Amino acid sequence: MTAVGRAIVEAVLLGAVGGLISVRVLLRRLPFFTLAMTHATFPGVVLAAIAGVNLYLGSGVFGVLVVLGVLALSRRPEQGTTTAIGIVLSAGFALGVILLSARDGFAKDLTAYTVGQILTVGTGDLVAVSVVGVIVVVLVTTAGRRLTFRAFDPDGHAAAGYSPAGIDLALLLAVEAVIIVAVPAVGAILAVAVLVAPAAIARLWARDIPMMTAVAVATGAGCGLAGVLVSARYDVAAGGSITVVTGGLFAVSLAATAAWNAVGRRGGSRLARVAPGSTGGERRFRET
Amino acid sequence: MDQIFIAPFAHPFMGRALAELLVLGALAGTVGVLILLRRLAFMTDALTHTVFPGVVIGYLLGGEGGVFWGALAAAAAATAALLTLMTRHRAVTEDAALAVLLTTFFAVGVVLVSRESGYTADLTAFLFGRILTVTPQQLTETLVVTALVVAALAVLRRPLLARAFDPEGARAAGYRIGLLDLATNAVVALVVVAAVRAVGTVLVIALLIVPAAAARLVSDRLVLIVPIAAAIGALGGWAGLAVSYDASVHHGLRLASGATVVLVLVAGHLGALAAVTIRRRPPAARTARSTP
Amino acid sequence: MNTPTDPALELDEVTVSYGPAPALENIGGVVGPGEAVALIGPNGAGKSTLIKAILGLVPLVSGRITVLGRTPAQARREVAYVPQADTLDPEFPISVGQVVLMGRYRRIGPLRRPRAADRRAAGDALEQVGLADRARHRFGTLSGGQRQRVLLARAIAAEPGLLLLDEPFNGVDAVSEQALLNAVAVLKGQGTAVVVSTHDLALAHLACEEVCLLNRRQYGFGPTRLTLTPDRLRATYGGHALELRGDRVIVAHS
Repeated sequence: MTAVGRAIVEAVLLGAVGGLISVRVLLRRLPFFTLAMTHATFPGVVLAAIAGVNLYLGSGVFGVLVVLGVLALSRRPEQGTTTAIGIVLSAGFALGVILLSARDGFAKDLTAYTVGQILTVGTGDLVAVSVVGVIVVVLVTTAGRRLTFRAFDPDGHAAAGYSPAGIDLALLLAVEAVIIVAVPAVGAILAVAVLVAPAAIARLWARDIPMMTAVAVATGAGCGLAGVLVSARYDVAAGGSITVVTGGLFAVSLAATAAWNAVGRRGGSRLARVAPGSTGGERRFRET
Repeated sequence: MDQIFIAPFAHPFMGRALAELLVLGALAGTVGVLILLRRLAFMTDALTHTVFPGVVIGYLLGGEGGVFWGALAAAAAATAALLTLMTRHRAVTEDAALAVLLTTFFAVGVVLVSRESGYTADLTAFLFGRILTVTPQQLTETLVVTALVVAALAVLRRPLLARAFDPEGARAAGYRIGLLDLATNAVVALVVVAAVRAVGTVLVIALLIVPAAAARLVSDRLVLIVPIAAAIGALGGWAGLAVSYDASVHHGLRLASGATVVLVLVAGHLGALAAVTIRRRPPAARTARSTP
Repeated sequence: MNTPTDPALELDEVTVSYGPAPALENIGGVVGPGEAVALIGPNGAGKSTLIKAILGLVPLVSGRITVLGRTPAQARREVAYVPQADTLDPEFPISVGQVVLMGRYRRIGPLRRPRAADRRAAGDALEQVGLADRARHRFGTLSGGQRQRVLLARAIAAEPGLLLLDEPFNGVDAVSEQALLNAVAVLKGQGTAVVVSTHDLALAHLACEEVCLLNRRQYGFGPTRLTLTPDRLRATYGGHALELRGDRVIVAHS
């Protein structure tokens, strides 16, 4: 298989897996957390490269530490979760940069890790994406209903006797696994596009979670394919073009659905009721 | 100590770098308190990334001097886009919109810069700044931005406080919440633009979040939090610069200056966290308000 | 400026709607200076919506609201609003004194420091709700009832012509409830009109001359004793979740 062929397979697989997990990220309100995890996974990648161990293993171990770090920092009430995430995010990135800057060929490596190099992926990378894909499919099919329950009604979930820690940990580990396979392809900064944007697009079009999931998977895979083709045709960075294609599709979807809503109010209210637990955009004040 | 923290700054380029970081640290620390009170860390991070394509376009069009104005234009456009996007569509949550906007803008910058030869070195400079090559003109621009931001905060401090504490009450009192939020975003964007060449797009976020968070740990009185945050920001800049210089010159260990500043700030924050935790042990019953 | 004989608040066939169905329909009534009216109705009846409309924060589909002789937006500087304390961030680094001083912000102007008169007004207001000794404490360290009193003190410091309270007695201890009632009585004595939304019919009897029975549309507006009849209450609340005990009427929250 040629390098472009492998890149296309990688992008489509990664897009599909990312699309699948992105629905869970969005419903559970984790985009910022995911962003912090992508940034903080970065020093793990660098450390693994320096130490000469497997990249996936190194960043995986580091990613788990990051999850624990954010959870620990956000336990202080006056800090708030967003501040804790911001601190971990910048600390993680700075650590990665420092580690890299101590080495030769600093700029080139840094670019590879921050914006990815999908054209250099090998068969091993494809296997890694496939394995993570199987893990995510298993999680979503076996625990999908619990994930939805937890996201929609945390108190009810706990009251029903479920352990919130267990399901949270499973989801965060799955997210971290997808991040680890996404970083070599699209880079640490752009990985969050793969893990959030497909669901954000799907959320605009779909009425319920199964349909949203289907749209997100198709969107992720389609944008991966289109991004690599654009990148090969115009000689631009592939991670960037995949993200720009995805972002463009989001903008088009937003404009189209907003116009659709404006045309028919009924359609608007139906679209707005798409998914439970995600009414954050509403500006209507609380009626008591 | 003198050899590490004073002597290096006799070099003119180090003196300018120090002056730039002291001003930026104090400025970002002050504005960071506003970000902390409004819980805008994610929005701020989005702004640091949306500035990136502006930096690239400014550089492509106007060379080194064009960076400032390109970034300013992009930040202004991004601020407006963020605001409208977020409030229009009911099926879009704020965090999802920010994540998509952030990565898309950043990717536009990456795509643009990847067309250039010498792509990797340029990208590195944009991402992590070039504090050691600060020119007197850049220093002047930073001072102008500082004056603007301090003036805006001085005039708007009471409405901004009222809005942060109690949005419904502030609206009822007749404050224009939309305009206040626009002013807040504009102030944050200005600081991001001013800091972008020194510490880079990615690490500005640390200057804006960490000093304020550390100050909030130390005190719960606003009149103290603001000066403490400014002081922590400035001192962190100084110490980080000194450490990275010393490591490079005397120990043969090249450390990126911007990243060193960030790690010094984070270390300071962890120190404050440890000190506060030891001094007044929080009740065990206290749990995280909103674990994700 | 309005003269003391003008009504503080006039509602004239007010209709508000968010979607196809109106949230409030044809609400009407007049509140004079120094009078208090209780907005009574079940959850979702539109009590908060009416308060927002009086503040000029939601547009009217039809009808008119006149506050102190002007439109709601023009009169906002002389209207004070007390939100529910539990909607505010308890970790916010702000002292009780600063919160009360916020009531004076619109008078202080952007550049000047608060004058002695402003500080005195804030201090007096805090005294009125019985929390003068807490001025330097952080807002979040107070109990729920005390926070509600601080927010009322902020409203008092603004010296309003019209005071709007949104469910001020929810989850408030007995001491705080008494302090709130006393402070409202003092304000009324000074000519301030008061609109208070509540579930608690006993409080309507205690603090308000008039009541407005509300559930999307108006089920009665008039003197408390004449308007709070079992029949009208049953009509307002849909005929259930209601318990009558002598003079007092208790609504069972469902």
